[in-house]
Amino acid sequence: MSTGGTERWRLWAGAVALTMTAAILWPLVPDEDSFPLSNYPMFSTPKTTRAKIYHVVGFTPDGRGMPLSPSMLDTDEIMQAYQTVKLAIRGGRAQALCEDSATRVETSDDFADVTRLEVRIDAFDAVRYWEGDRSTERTWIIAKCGVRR
Amino acid sequence: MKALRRVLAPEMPAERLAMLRILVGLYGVVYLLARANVIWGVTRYPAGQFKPVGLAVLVDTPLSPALVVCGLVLALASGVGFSLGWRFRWTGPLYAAALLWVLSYRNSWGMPFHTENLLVLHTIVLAAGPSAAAWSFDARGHSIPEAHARFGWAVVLMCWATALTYFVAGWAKLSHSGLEWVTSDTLRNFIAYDNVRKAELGAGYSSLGTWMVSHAWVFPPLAAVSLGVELLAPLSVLHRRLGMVWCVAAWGFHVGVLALMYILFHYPILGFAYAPYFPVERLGRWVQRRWRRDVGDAQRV
Repeated sequence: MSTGGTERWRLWAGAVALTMTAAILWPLVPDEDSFPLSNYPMFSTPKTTRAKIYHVVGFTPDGRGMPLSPSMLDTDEIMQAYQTVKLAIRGGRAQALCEDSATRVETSDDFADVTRLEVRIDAFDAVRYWEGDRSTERTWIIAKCGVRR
Repeated sequence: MKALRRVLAPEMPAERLAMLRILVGLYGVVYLLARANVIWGVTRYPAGQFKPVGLAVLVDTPLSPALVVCGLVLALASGVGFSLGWRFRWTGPLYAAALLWVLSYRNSWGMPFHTENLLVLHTIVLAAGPSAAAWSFDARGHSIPEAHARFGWAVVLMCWATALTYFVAGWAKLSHSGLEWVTSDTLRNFIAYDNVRKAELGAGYSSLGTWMVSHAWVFPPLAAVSLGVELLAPLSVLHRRLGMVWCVAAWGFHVGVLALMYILFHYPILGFAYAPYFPVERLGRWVQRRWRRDVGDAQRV
């Protein structure tokens, strides 16, 4: 490759360096996120205090709500869990997601009191949330299902 | 022209590139093993969630679980060859392609994880360079070549790749939000939002970040420093010491992100992203000395 004794390695090095530079900078042109080349859009756009959260919430018989953890959505990763719920809602698969999650909740000790689930979008004021006001500004309930006990 | 050459392709010891091959290669193999459950886990996602990115755009529909496992096994096997410098002419490019494939596929389910970008880019550079000229199976029985620019360019390119990824992130902020990204409440709102998202998805969040949300004045200076670290990153390749100072600043930036948002960029936090800026061959020589001393002690006993 570039281990030869001649100066050919310079041509190779130049070609690799130019390609790599162009590739890393390229996502800025179409302003596109991909992998492993990205325009790193997370946290770059202007942001208000409004937080629209896509999640699955479990409810106990007395009406207490608790958000399902990522493992109940079949992933270890918080961001993947978030996207799973978001894409399920957008793709019309919220009911299926609800029922899949319910089968995992059935065998979970952490959610032993949960008897029903809701796939929902909750809008909060993110700053007020951390100042103690956790009321939702608006809620959209997309799907509901029961948990067999 | 000579000055430019000295910056872009300085003379460097073959061992530095070799040590980077070992470090980045082992990191990749350990990472794939540690994340095997996540890589395998995507086989359970509904097909409708498949949004191919990177090399995965080569396929239109999700692969069978058997093919996903094959890709992972190939990446692991070639990764071991890459790290050991065994038949590097083949294992180098093969591992870079396999790693790109496996991580592209794992990132094709609606959420590209930017934490893995630099690992892949560094691996590609290492695969393209003479990274097995020392401390490798291929180099057994040969003396270590003298320091040369043909080893230096790949090390500099790794630094350049690191710097450019930060620059792109900074540029995206400027082009999407302008200087308001610094002067407005944007950073505070992002930290508040990201922690709400974590809390409302039943995961851990940052107590420090959520406490700081009430102190709005803290965030514009933090935003200015973050943006400065990102936009000034390309200068880090111009001078060795400047590069080291930038690495410390960039590492501190990631510590801040971890502390305020509970987001772990493992590759930079563990120092691998910045390893090309440092004379890492000293680590290899230290290990060699220890090894020889221990073997010598054992033989005397």
